[in-house]
Amino acid sequence: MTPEDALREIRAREDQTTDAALGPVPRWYLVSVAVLLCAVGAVPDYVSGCLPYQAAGIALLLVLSVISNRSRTARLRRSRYTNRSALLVLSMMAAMITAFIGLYVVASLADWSHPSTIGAAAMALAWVLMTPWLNRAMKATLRREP
Amino acid sequence: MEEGFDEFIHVPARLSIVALLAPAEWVEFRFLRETIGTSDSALSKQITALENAGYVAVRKERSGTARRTLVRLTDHGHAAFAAHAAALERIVGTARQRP
Repeated sequence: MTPEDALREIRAREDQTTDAALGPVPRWYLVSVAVLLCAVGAVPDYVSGCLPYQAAGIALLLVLSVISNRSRTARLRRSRYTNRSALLVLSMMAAMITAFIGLYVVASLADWSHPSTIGAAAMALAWVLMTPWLNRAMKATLRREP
Repeated sequence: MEEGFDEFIHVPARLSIVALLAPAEWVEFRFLRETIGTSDSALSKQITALENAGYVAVRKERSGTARRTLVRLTDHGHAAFAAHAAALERIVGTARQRP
């Protein structure tokens, strides 16, 4: 094997591992997290003293991510993640929080009923729409071959 | 021979395995087998050779009724692979500079 072929092989193989480690996001995970986000965000509209319920929802979210991670066939080393990949994750989180707060404020100002539910639904929708985007963007960032 | 060039890793079957392991904390044996397109026994043979050389570590894990085998590069394996890749880059770079 020539050195050039070897380098090409290394890059192609590394990209295969990156692809396997990053996705695609299982549909059950996408839907379950969306439902949980909706529930956790909407609880204040229906229950007073909602903190325990929200804490339970967040714990369930963590359990789901552990299960989802275990179903992966490869996990990337932390050192592979770059500042750009961290920025992508933060951008998505910011978009989700903005969707929640934005819709919540609009619904409250407009005096609509269930403002938390509306905000939570917007946040869940942002999650569902942006996760495939984040997945593609992360792969593009971490792949070695152009 | 270029410094860092590792003839043991450079064998095509082993280079593919090590390159697949390099970016990962761990990968499943099944993933290696399916990606490389080889048999269980052929892959096991190469993994054992790499394990004996101290380049990879193998761990078996049980989750529920399923069992899976996880493979990872050791620190020694990472260092050897990084040095080998750097040596390849230098060889290719030098060859390109020649008129």
